[in-house]
Amino acid sequence: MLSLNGASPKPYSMPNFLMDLNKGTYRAVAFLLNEEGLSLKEYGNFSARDFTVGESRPFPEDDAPYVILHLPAEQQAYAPEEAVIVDFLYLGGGPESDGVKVKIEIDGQEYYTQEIAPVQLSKLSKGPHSLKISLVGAANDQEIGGVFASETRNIIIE
Amino acid sequence: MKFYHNCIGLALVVVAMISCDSSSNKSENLSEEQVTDSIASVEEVVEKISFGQLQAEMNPDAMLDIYNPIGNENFKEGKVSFLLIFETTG
Repeated sequence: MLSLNGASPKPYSMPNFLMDLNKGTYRAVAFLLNEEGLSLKEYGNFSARDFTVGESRPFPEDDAPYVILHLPAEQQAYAPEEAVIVDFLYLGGGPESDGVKVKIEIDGQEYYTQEIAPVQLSKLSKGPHSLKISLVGAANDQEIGGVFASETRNIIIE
Repeated sequence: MKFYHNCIGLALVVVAMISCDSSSNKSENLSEEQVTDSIASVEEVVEKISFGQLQAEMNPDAMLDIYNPIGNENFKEGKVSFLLIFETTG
């Protein structure tokens, strides 16, 4: 799987491929899936690269940790009884050593964790929902800075 | 012979009773299910979304590296070539 600038990751079965890209500044994060289709989350299971196209300005120097959201994908639709799994990668040292928490927000409800593990949501009502994942300071719950501080996906429960 | 007929008759009645009984049970179950269904759907509106942590499966032997782009490169607009290297050390 490969995510460009935090967008919904796309699967690639071949090791080499071409991407048609406009002028811009990019961060590519590639990762592997297990048999259940969830991302492998340990150091070495994934790889990230920054690059530019058309002499775009590079990202500012930034060592802040960030998350890449694997699931849900943008506009993913779920059957009423289907589990909604939030699967993310953490790129940084570790939530505890970095002094951050992962925050998941949906319908005004919040969930905080320092575990890098998938989170299953249940009892979602029918209709569209907006899910946001971000990194916040462990002490103050304030969103940390950085180019990839948060990601938002829209999903639908049918 | 008459006793034998009576026995068959009794058996038929028993069978009929059992089948009636089970069908009435079925309808009772159905109505119970419908009741719990409607309760559940009412609760769904009120209940909060629950968040549950799943077990993270580990596979430290599976290594993935982006070989191309090598990092901080600049490309011309258009096609950018990617090469991913997958290795397993296990």
